[in-house]
Amino acid sequence: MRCSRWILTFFITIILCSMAFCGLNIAVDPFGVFGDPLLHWYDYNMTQNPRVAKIPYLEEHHDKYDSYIIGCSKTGGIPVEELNEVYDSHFYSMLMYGGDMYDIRATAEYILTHYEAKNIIVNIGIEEAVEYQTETDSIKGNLHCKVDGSNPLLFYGKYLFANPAYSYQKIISKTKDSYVQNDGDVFNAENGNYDKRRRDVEPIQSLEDYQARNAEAFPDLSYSEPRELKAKEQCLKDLAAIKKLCEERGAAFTLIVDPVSLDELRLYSARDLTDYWTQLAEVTDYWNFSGYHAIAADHRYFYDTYHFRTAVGTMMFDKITGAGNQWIPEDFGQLVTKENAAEIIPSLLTPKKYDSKDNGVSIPILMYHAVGEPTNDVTVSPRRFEEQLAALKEAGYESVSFEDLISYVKAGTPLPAKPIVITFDDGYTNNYTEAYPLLAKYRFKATIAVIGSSLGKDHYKDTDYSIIPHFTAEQGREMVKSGVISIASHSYDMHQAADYEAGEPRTSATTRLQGEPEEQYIDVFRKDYHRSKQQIEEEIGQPLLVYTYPNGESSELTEILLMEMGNPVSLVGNGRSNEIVKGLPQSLRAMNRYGVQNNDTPDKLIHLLEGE
Amino acid sequence: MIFSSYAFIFLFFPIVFSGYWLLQYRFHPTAAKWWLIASAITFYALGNVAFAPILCLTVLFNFFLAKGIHHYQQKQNTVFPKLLLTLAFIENLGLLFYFKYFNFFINNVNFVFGSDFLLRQIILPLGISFYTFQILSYVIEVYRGKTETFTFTEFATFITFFPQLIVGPIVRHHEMLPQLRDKARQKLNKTNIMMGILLFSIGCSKKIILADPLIAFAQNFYNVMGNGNFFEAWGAVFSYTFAYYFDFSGYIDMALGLGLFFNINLPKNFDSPYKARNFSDFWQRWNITVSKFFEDYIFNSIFHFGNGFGKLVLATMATFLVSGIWHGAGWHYIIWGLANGVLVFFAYIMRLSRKKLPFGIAWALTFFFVLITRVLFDANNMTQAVQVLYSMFNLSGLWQDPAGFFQMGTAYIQQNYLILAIITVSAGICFFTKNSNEICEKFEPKWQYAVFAGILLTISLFRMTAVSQFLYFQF
Repeated sequence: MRCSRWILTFFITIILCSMAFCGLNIAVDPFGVFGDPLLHWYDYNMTQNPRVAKIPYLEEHHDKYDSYIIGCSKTGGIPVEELNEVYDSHFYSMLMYGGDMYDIRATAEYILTHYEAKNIIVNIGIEEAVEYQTETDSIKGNLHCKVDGSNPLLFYGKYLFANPAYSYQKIISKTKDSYVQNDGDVFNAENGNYDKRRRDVEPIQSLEDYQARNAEAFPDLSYSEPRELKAKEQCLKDLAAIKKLCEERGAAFTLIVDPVSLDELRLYSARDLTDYWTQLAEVTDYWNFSGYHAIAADHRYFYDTYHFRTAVGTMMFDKITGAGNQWIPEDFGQLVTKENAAEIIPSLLTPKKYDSKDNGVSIPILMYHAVGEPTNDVTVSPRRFEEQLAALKEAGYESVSFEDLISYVKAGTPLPAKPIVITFDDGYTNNYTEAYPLLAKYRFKATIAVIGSSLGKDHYKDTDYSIIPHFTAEQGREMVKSGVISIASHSYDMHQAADYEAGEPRTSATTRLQGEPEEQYIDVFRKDYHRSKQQIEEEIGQPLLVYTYPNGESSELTEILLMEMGNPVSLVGNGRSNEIVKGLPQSLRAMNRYGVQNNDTPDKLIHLLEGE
Repeated sequence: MIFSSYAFIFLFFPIVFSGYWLLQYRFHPTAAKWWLIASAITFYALGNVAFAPILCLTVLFNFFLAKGIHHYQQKQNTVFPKLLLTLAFIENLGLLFYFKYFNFFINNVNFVFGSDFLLRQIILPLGISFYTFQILSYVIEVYRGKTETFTFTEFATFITFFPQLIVGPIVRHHEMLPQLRDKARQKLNKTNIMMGILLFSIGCSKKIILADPLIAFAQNFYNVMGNGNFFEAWGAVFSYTFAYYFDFSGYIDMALGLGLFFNINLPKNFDSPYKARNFSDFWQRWNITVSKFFEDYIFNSIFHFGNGFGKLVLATMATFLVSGIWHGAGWHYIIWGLANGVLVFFAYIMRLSRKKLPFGIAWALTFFFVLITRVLFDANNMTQAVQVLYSMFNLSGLWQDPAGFFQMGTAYIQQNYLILAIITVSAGICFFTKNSNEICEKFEPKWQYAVFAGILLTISLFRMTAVSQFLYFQF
């Protein structure tokens, strides 16, 4: 072969191979710049680079939104649903991980010049005043060329010729995609925010317990170098520019300085922050949620040192708009204006002492089953049951309902000094005949979790197998009316008895049948919950608040599903106490219970509760 | 600047290549040589501009030292040549010592004497270990009267020739001078261009497709995971063993390929080292030019044909001790060097006693010890090397809980299937295929080679942008 032909063949091969790779990058489009023609997986694209992938998404869907919140990853703690509710608008979150004021300004200008915007909320931390335009990853950290005005040829070329490993990773992630988010799709493209469902159903418990489980998320920063506000002037200049543009375009501008943990706050000098926040008030009025307060001092209100929880984001906007009636610490969030800056800012930066115990309360929950002649471990005799109630009374326990716990978490409504919750599983008739009168006698409240398919039955569903009789809906109604008993769900039919089922049984709500697709299982779980809810609400006449897991087994997925269906409380087993936390609804999820048996003497029971 | 980068491939090289041949055809070969020198200094400065003056001054200084040695030798003066040679040693080895070993030396002084001398932040100038040797070798040969002297243009072209400036191969003056003076090499050679393309593409793909992911995997083990379990330790050691070969030989292939674009045949530096049947054989296949340098200037200075057994031991161990020190400042490099010395010595004994193991056994034993010595080289320090070796041979898990042990193995395979596939492919290439020199020796301009080179280079080009991981995992 002649040299020229050989070299021509070499270059033709390069061109053909390049075309194949470029074709792959266009078809799979891991950054969402070419319209993601094959997978339409915007959540994934935004996870790869939110700055870039949100722009084509908005081009297609901008008519659904009339308001925008812009900020770095901390903005992920502000739920878009909350904004929509309190502002009666349709918000889109332009949060960008690793974003700085350069990104925020460019994005705000793009939004304001391209779309109608009723509200622009800019959420900043302190970091925006530290660094400016320092992003070095030109694939994942850059802005869209339509936002920063960079050369479109170079911009699209970069993604066209990107490492095909990105496309490969997207394909692999797609095969592992699940209802629960994973590290491939942590964004929710529909509102632009992080998908925080997993962290929002995680158990909270005591501060020590939470920190032990999340040790890596809260590193010791006490030895870190102090941070200087080097980019302060640029930050102020950019905020002034955004405000001016908002005024010109008729958009309401709100600036938020978001809450930071005390670990982070202590990285800055109080003098620097005072100067910065004072100058900020000269630019615009703003809401300052930073500084010393009960939230900043308790890691449980943070996913990690730098990111506050969505529950905190909800508090922030309830405080701003005065909406809702939820618990918000008094010193959390101040409107800073140039008139009051000199007075408010020093108060925000005055260190105070906080005790995390003031934010939470320990709640033991007892789990009973049948009350009658003891034929097994979990059947407690009426006499023993009465002894136990008397001992609890004697020890100063006051029973509270789950409504009381919800009120404590949501509104901070105080609970008695020694609260306890009593629960029964399965809904046996003897709960009505034996336990209910004794509870009334000792003025205790209790919650009974009924299995929907067994309500009023003494035979296993659709069979002739005898089972312990279960109370009827009418008896349930009577107990609820008395105010002594409330009814919870123990599933409608996900607590099946393996011996009585013809096919593969669902012995717990987390049981996924062999080969059952995730989608089908989710459908079964949802339908089961709704059927149980409907039964309790229609036949017994009480709103459903509590889901008691069959066999005490919960999963992250079922917790997410329950949360999405509006269920505020779920119960498992575990034999431990709980700590519920003001302002954190997830502290009511998968609550632990002590299983009580007939051989638990009153002393043993009290020791169990107080021995910890 | 590295060869496997867009800036080099699409900007630097096309400019240097076109400029060189334009000057060669339109002006004068000397102008073309100066173009190469200027390009090399630019290439070097793009890596770290602060070190370019050191390179320039070293070249100038040594050129005049060699000139001086030659001059005084012709005048039958025996004192000045010795003095100038000593000066060359002091300057070259002094720079090397300062940049490479100063902190190691201070560390050890502090350790032995309990002193508290401060360490300095010293960055090693790129390629200093290689060009120092080239320069020294030339000055020594001038002193020995075994070489013609260069003109300054030739000398500077020889030392700074950018394809071999950073990691070799170490070129000897007698290999380079005839090529620089050869009139036939002042015309474009089509075969060389094709072979250059092929070699560069092979080298680039060795580095990008094979070495880079394997290095990242192995480094994660050594820097993050520490000693790991049985499977992790073996996985990392295999990974580094192949990675190191593909990284180094890939770079050398690219250098050889680039040399061909200017009609310069650089010496081969690798010859399928993992096919070696003993350690003596291994060192004749691995980093050949450096091995040859040590053989010529250390081994042959101590041992001469007919010397006794003791001298052979001394020469071998001294050679590998120096090799260990040259490879890096750390006790684990020294131990690595000595271990290699012992293994090479075994090969000598086998040869002297005229014993020969069957090839399969000899090869397996050699490769096994390559893996073991690899740990000494790759570990961050001796303690870690011992820990990793312990993990590699700690089979207590297998006896105590066989099911758990196999489960751990299965989980390891499932989690790392991609990297294990790369290791398997790498092993296949190392053990069973022709190496790039063998391909080039029998090169014919077949279309298959063009397609092969095109595919390899395209994959490499597409994989040059680093794939960064998602930054925010706290979801």
